[in-house]
Amino acid sequence: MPNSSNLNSIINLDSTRATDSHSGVEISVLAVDDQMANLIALKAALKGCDYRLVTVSSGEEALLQVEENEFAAILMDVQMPNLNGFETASRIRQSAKAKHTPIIFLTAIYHDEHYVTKGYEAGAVDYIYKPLNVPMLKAKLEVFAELHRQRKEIEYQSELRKKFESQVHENKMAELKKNTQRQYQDLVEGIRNGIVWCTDVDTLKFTFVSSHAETILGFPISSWFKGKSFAINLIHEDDRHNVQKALDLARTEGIEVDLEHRMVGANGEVLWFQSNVRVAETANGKEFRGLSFDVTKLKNTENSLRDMLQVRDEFLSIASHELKTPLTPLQLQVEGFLRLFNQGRIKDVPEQVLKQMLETSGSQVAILSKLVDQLLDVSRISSGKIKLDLEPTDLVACVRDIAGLFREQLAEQNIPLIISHPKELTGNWDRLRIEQIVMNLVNNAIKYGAGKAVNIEIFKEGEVAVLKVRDNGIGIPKSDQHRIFGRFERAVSANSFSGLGLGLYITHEIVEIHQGKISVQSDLGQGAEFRVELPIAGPKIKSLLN
Amino acid sequence: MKHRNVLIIEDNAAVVTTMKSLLELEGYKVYTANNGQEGIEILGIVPNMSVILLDMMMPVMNGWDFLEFQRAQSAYSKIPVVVVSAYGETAKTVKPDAIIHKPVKLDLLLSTVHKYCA
Repeated sequence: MPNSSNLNSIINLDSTRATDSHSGVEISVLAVDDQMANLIALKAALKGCDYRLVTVSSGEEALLQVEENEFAAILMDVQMPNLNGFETASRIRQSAKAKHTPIIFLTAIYHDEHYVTKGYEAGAVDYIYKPLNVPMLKAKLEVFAELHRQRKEIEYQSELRKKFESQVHENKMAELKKNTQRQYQDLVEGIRNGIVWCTDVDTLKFTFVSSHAETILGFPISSWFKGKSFAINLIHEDDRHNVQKALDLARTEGIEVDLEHRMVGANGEVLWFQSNVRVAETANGKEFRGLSFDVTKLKNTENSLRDMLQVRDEFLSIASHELKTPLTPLQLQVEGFLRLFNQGRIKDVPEQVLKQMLETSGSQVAILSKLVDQLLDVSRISSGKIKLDLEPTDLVACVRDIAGLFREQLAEQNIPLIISHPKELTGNWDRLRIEQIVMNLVNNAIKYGAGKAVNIEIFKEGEVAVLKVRDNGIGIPKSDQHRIFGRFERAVSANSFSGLGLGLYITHEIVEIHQGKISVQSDLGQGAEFRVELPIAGPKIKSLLN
Repeated sequence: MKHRNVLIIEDNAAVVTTMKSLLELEGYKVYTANNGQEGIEILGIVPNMSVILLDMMMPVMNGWDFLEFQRAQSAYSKIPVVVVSAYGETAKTVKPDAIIHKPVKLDLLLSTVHKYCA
């Protein structure tokens, strides 16, 4: 009798295993027989088949095998000691793993109907009678093996398919996630004039900044994450208190806070930002999330607009005063004449008084129309509508004519006017505009000259005519010199000197459109010297003329 | 009968000559000064000034400074001062007796001057 270890050995029917299917699953058949000889005979009979034969010599061993391994079919001897074939079969039918495994009974006896019925009730699918008809046995087992193989293949394919589908799904999800991330990144990095940022709520250390942080403020991105006080140092020191208050508010109230503040760039430049900040929950706790828009340009425009408005308001106040001043004597005179006329006293008024009053009225009207002309000039200059009527113009003659207009006033105030000039200096200019330049400069020299001498110098310097008008009066402090050619500006307060403050602005603009230059040399109490340079050939580009 | 002496302190020559002519036609004796400083000088020369017509914006010594000085001098402080100005706001600490805004209405000017000379 062979020992039991031999009986339990796995008999390899072929050196090459049945692994040709995609599943790669081995197909096995279990043989149960208490007779070693029968098992050996089976082994011999099934040699060369593409499944392996597992042999056991008792029902108990068979039950253990089916719990551990899967079989394409079970060949079961009916007559065995202890657990016979029927009993073993019914127990196998109760096993979750093997309840569908086909069982073929091998028997030499029991040909009767009753016996066969019992076998089928126990779960047999077939009977094979001994002595074995080997080709039939092979054929039957081949069918079961093939069925099993196909079932395993289907399982494998379905498993594979499931796996594949889940892989595809995972890939899709990953792709989607990547795309979403890229989209967000594009959105965040696409904000050119703003910085998207996150900081720790306690330390205010940056945990994220969008790349335009570097382009806007000049600090390399890597430096934003270094150092505890980087964020605080970014904020303009006058705004730190407000920013801290806003952050506290966002944190304690859990609300979004908007604020306007300044930040200081790497080169020391102060930039204005409009920031929106809120607290967000993250895996590591809380963080501030913010969006800070660079509104420096807007702010500068706003400020210059405000300045312009203030200058305009001041101008309007001065202008209305200047317009009212000549109106006062005019109105008084008109009312005075009417009163005298109504009272029938007009014939009693001495002729000399009447003449003087009418002359005063005339001069006030002249002042008014001059003011209106100035205002119109400014409006023409602003809209670029000033036109030059170019003709050969003698600067010396212009200065002489204008000086003549001031003769009476100069004599009255005892102001010497000294003019040094060549015989003539003719250029291609607008005569009336050149006279306006001379008029404004001489007028200023007398007005601010403190009653001292006024010097005018005319000379040629290469292709340029130079006109210098110098007074010895109050002078212009260096700090004010840059703005005196601006619109509505004057270096001294309106309290002591009348006028719209437009003279030098208009003069500057007329010189400019003649493509000349105007400059001033002065200091407080040192008088002022205005120097005008005009190209003798006149302005070059024709398009400027009309 | 009170004196009918009027002092005009005003830097604008046209305003001065116009007011002077019209007041003279009404029989007032009119003195003129180009600024506060000149006004003080005239007060020193001419006694019995009835009323002062005072402009505010003037070179050398403006109206505010003149008013402050005049009100502090016991010799002149009783003389009524009428501010004639284009600006709404006039005196800061010291108040004038009346304010006439430019452009000036002749009726108002004459009635005001008349009131202080009556």
